Parts: sequence; C-alpha cells; structure tokens
Amino acid sequence: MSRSRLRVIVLAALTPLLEKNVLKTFALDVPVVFSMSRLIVLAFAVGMLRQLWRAGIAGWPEATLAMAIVLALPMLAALERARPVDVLALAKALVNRFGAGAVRSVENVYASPREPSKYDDHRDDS
Amino acid sequence: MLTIPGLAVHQRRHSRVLEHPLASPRGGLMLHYDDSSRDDWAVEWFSDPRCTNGYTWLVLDDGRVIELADPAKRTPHAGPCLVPKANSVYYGVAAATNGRVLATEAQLDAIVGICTAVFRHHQWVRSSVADVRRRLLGHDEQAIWTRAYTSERSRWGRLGRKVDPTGTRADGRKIIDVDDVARRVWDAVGGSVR
Repeated sequence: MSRSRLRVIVLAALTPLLEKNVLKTFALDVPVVFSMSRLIVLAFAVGMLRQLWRAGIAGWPEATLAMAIVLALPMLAALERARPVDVLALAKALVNRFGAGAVRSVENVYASPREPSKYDDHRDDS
Repeated sequence: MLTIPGLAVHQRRHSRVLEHPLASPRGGLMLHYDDSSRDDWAVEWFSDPRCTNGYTWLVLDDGRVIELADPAKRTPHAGPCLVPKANSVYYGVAAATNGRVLATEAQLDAIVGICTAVFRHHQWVRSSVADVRRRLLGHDEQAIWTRAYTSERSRWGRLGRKVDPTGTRADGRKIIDVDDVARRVWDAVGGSVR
C-alpha cells in the first residue's frame, strides 16, 4: 500500500475525532487537535455497542443512555450554539430519565449466572 | 413410591416434577436454595410446564417439607458435577430462599431432619462428622462448568458453576452452612448406625 493511500485512510479514520479549536491549534502550533468530547463519546459508543451485542438493552435507563450516545455528536454541535439555560434544561431532562423505569438487578450480565434460577435446566448430568 | 421412615413430609406433590428412574445408586444428599422469594410461588413453580429443575424435597421458611418427587427417583437438581450422574447419586434438598436471605432456623432444623432420616434409612456407615460431610454436599462443591454453560474452554470441568447453598452475601454469611448442617446431623445420628 502506498504511503499516500495509508495517509488517506488514517485521515479518514481520525477526522471525526479531530477538531479545529482555534485556541488549542494556535497554542500548540498544529493544524488540528483531538476533540476530548468526541473521544469520550467514542468510548461510550464502544461500551454501548459491546453491551448491545452481548447483553442487550434492558429498560428505559439503558435505552436512554443508548439514545443519548447516538445523539451525542449532533447534540454537541448544537449545544455550542445554544444558550446556557437551554443546555441545562436538556441535561435535566436526560438525567431525569436515567432513574425512570425498571432496571436489571446488579450483576455481571456477561457471565453465566452462578446463582440458581428457577429456569435452570439440570436434566443433563452427564 | 419410597417412604423414608422418620421423614416428616407436610405435602407430596409428585405430579409435574421431572422424575425419572435412578441412573446410579444413591450416595448422599446435595443441598441447594431455589432462588425464590415467596414460598407459595416457589411451590407453584414445580407445577409449571416450563420447569426444568426440581428437588426431592423443598423446605419452606416455616420448616414445612414439600416432597416434590418420589425419593426413589432422580430429579434434575444438580446438572453436570464432579460426580457423574449427580442427579441420581444425590438426593436434592432445597431451602425455599435466595442468595440474599439466610435460611431460617426452622428450615435448617427441617433440613437436618431430612438428612438424619435419609442417613438412617440407608444405614450409611459413619464414624465421624467427616463421614457425614462426605455424603452431605453443597451444590457449589460439585457443580462444574461444561461446554453447555460457558464457551471458555479453560473452565470446563472446573468448579464454580453454581454458588448455592453458600451464596455470595457481602457480609460473608452463608445462606446454608453445610458444615454446620453436617455437625447437627452427626449430633443426631452419630455412631448409632454401623
């Protein structure tokens, strides 16, 4: 693979995580910098995808978190132009949803359950 | 149907429990809890067509003993264990409780009564509490991981598949202390049968 192609691929992969923050680029003398907020959103998205894949989404609190992550980037862009009072109102609405609805019991949903369950099938003891 | 002398049964409900002929001679008793929060729901579950596990005896909070299967038959209480055919080798005895609520004193008394009656019935030779303990086990001491329960090959054949009847309470207290039950069974029958 040629050097130029590799550069294009790397740029394409990194572009969503970069920003042109004037203060930071001027201070560091670089054309772009990593956006911390986008990195955080990416980390949450990776975590959420893993949960979706392996454990599913159970209840409104988890669904709200998933939706918040999906909407995070456009919301971040919009919030930069919003008034502080609107940002606070949105945050309040989101946070209020986290406590609503049924939730799973606290346990590792990725591990096979070690506690007995009435749904256990112990017919095979070979 | 087998009736074990000295074993006080409050109710017999054999109809829907998955009982089958023994695949191996009896060798002991295995203690469990059933992850229930209400006695009436716990008992009803064993009449549900979806039920795929079962015990010979279920002990309710107040010490009443419900016989869910003919003691002469095996029940699906153990699953894969260190000892093959554990459903047959061990009688399944469950306290109607869960991993957060300790077994009541009445439940423990009833479990000791069941074990004592079974030991006497089989005339299992014993000369010490250790002999009793060898035949009286917790599910967590036997239940092993297999391919059917985990894709982690390194766990296959190893203990850890189940935590009952010890449980995993944060304060370290055991839902059922099998050592304590064994001591009480030994006190009840110690040295009387050879």
